[in-house]
Amino acid sequence: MSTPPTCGAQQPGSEPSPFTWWPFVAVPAAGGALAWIATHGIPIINGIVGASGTTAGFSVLTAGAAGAIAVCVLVLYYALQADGCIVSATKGEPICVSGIVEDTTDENSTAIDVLAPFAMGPAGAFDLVVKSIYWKYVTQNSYWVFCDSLGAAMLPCIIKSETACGGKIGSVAGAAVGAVGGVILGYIAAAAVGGAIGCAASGPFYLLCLLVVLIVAAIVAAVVAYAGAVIGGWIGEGIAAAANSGNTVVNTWQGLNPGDIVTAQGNWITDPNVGNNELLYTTSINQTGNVGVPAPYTTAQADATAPDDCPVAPAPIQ
Amino acid sequence: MSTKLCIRLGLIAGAFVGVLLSLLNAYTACCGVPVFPPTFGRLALDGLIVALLTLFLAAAFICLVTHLPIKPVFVLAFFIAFVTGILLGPLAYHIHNPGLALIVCAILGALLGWLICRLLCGGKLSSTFIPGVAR
Repeated sequence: MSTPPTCGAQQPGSEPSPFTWWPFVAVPAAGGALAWIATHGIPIINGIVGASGTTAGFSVLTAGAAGAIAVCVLVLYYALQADGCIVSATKGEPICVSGIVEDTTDENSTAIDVLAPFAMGPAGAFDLVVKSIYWKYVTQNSYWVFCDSLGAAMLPCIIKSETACGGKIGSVAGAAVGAVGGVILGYIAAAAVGGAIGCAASGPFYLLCLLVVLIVAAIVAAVVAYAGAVIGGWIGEGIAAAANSGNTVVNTWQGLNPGDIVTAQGNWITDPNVGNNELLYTTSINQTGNVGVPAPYTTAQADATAPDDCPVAPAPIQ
Repeated sequence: MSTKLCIRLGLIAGAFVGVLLSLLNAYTACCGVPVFPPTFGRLALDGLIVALLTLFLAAAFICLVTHLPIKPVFVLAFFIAFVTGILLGPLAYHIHNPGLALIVCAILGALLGWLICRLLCGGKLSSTFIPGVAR
């Protein structure tokens, strides 16, 4: 048996963060769009709401557009994560590991599901106390190794949520529709508020009064766009849930309990945030039994389980 | 938490302060109506209102979708809103193009957010290092 992995940090320093590209795209794009709206308005919407001035009318329209664009950027930020929904997940090595399930985690959150379906993550995960022959999959190139309370190395196995993917796609469509409606409603609401409070040009609170009008336009537009994203996300989730009700990986994962002896296959990567190795995502789970004692488990217990159906000698990994 | 959170909060606050305060200038210039000359204090107050409102909503969303502790996130958002609103409000008002104001103030807001993180927490955030907040 080789030397057991050291738990926790594996090498000095932290994993280099991937380049964060989205602000460099979103900020100039939003700035360009708003600069154009401020001088030209939005062609079709101009006619609908009656905005014609290059200053007052278009200013309110631009404030509404700013709120709507902010929500669209938010939704796109989540939708364009490399999670295998719209953008492919990080490509790793296909591997097979075996061991004992230490624990399972359900990542589903009702609050996020209801209030921000575009931000839903994976369905869940289970931590696998791997046999010693698979330690290299836990340690190789990793910056962090997860262990249980007995010091046994574990490999997190992530389960993809097709429902969340449907929610993200639906949210993108919903946010686009909501943004258009939001800009129109924002303009109307701002005009109503402006008329109601009647900003006196000579009063000391003139600027503040105009600012309130602009804020109302931005908030109403953002709220309507957000509502569109949420409703679109719910619809997308519903469609995805109906289409993927027979997903065997998810169904098997939902039936897992601590102590289950499993063989898992999946895409082996190093997590970009924590630096641990993991399966993102798990593509198959084969449960062969249960050790019959409560967690935590040791590597010796995993080694003592029956031979698994993975290759006896794991292929060398580059 | 890392400085990423501060940078993003600063960027969001800066972007909104930039757009809305710049639009305020366009709005007041609309009908040739003479208004009180906007003082630094008045513009700073307007910037502060926009930044506080924006980061309150941003912090609420962050706490919804992450497992970060609520109090430190809101305290951090308050600090960043306070600084970005007061400093960038008067600047944004004098940039007449809202798109340019968004870009300039977003970049400056991100820098201010990063700076606040460095000053408060030495770059790495922990709730115990944020004054007045016990986790």
